[in-house]
Amino acid sequence: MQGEITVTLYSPFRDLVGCRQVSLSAALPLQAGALLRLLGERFPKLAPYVSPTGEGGAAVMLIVNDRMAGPEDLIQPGDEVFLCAQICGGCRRAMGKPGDQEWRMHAARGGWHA
Amino acid sequence: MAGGFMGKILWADLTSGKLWDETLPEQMYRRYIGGYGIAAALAYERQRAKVDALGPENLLTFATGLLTGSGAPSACRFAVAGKSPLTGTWGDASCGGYFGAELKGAGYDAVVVQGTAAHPVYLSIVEGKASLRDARALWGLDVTATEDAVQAELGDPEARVVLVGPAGEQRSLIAAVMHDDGRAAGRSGLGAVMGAKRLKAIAVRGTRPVPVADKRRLTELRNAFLQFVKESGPPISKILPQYGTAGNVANNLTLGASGVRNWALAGREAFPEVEQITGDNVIKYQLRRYACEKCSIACGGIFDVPEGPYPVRLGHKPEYETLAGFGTLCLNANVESIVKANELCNLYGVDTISASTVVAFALECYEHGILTREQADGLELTWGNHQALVALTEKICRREGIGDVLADGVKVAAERIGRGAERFAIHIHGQEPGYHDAKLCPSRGTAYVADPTPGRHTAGGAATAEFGRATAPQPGIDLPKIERYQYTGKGEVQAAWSNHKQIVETSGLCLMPANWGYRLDEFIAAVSGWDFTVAEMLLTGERIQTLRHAFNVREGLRPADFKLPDRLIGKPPLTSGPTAGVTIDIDTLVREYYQAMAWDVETGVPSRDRLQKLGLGELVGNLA
Repeated sequence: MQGEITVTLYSPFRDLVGCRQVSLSAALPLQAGALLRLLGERFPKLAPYVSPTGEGGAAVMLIVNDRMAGPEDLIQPGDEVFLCAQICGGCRRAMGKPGDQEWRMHAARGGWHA
Repeated sequence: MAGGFMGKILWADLTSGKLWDETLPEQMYRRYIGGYGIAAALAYERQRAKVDALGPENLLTFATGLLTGSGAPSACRFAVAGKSPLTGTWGDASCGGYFGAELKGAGYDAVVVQGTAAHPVYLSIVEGKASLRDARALWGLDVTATEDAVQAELGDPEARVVLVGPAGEQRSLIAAVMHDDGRAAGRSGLGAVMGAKRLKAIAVRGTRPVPVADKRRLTELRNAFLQFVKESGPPISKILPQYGTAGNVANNLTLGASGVRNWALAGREAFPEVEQITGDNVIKYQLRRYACEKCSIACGGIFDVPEGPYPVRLGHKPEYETLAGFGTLCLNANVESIVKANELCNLYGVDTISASTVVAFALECYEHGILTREQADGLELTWGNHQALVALTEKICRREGIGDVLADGVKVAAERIGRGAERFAIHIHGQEPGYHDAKLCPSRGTAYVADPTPGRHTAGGAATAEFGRATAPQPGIDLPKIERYQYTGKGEVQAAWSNHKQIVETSGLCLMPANWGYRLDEFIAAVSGWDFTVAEMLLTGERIQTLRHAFNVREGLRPADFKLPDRLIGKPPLTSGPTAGVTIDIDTLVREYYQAMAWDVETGVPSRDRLQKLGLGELVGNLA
């Protein structure tokens, strides 16, 4: 069944897209992961954040009907959907030059005291 | 002496009025970096166990970080540290602004205060010359008036001042050490320690440059970091310049991070009015942004609410924690009332996290008939009643009427009120937690319980990794991926994040950009001139964390003394909201963290072997 999904955006996504809510037409029910892909295609400025492999990837979370949605959870007609930023930092790729010392911690080898 | 340091600290004995300099060996800086690392080392070495936190023997240290004032981006911070009167544990608090860089400019890495003055004094440090001055005329003044008066007396409007307001003078256990009108070293109740010492303020002025070992490398690193954030920064890096942390309120509520109705609920459906207290609805009152020293984020804001029931002239933008505390936690959607409550806390010098939790506690006590209207000085303490919220906040700040009952935090307030009030007192060993729910990120709970200063959201550990975006706090550290609701196998990861965080704090770096790809080890190497590897960084972090922890063990505290409130565990689980059905296994998380740190899970005592590896055998070895 083809239907509309309305997604409420929070900062910085609402600032990137220029509006507080966006509506997408899709075959419903739709998996949450597919909705993220659709958002990236429709709004290229969101693509780095909603793509799991993008520079800002996995920086978002979908909340559907006041519950966290996993990538395979289904979105139904009339569902209330919010695109939230995960308020955290962390590094996805090294900023330093190639060949930098990579220090690896493996608990199985006795942590960083090994 | 390595770069980054001025090479000496100032001691002030307020009982005798004596001031003297001490030169610390470079090895001490390398072992403890700066900030609360140096403070913890001095306290452990020179302060006996179980002193009265409000007594003359408690050392109160104001210490800069290694990177503070060096030109490293967003590295401006200083720590205030000592035994906490709020928790009875090691206590520290971090603050931005300009004091840290100015203290180094005046020639000192830290100021250590001992004793108690016979009458109120303030400490002036100008271009390396320190003196104690009479502050009797300042006693009773609010934060802004005190700062103005000190600058006027010194004849220097550029003097940087840390101080206590009337709340600190009155030894409110939730009093903050304040700076730049609206910046606060808010946690741990250290404003009460400063007030108990009758130390109204420390004013500093200095123009000495901070030595940097490799300026070219520092510039390279700075430029690379700023470019990296511009191109690849996480969403928060886009939010902060525009809104500050005030841009996170609705987002965090929707995720389930924020406490609602004194932590009894979570999620947007529990407080649908949240849009009124977030983002544009907050910064519409912003006159201009401002930044801390050498920070390109500029998340601060000067606010003006010119009219209405809660006018605030040239106040400060409330942070996320303040908006969540006086907002979602109290079901209050009136943003002007939150700006006003924030301003009251700033003027009187009170921690907004603790103050807002105390207000929510009072509202719930009132709801259950534990506090009557008469006991509440006639205030109708109902959820969302913003007039009552502002009035109660002012009473807490002034220690007036019911405010005197509440002014020492929820734990003490519940003991004073009795009648089952402790059910609604949300705290960890006396300190009210920040508004980041452990049910959303369980490792936050580990930090609330296991960090030596309990209840600190800034000690979040692996919570960031639980969000899934990143596995490690910075490049060069490779940690296994963890899942949000995984309870075993997380201890080493929590320890690595936590140990990294010790270096963030003691280097003077702001928490915000610390995990945006900031090569902290390389910045430290460039500024200090040390060959400072990631491995040394994490080992140093573990040393500092273990020393802070050892302070608590020496005080007679045991792991079982630190409990996460049931509402943050999910006992019973919520029936609605993003964290519905979640009950976290906090015991396993904490036990595995203790094991990773080689702290005994029953006694808390660090293992002798680990103490030797950390080079703490001599200092702390008698505990083991």
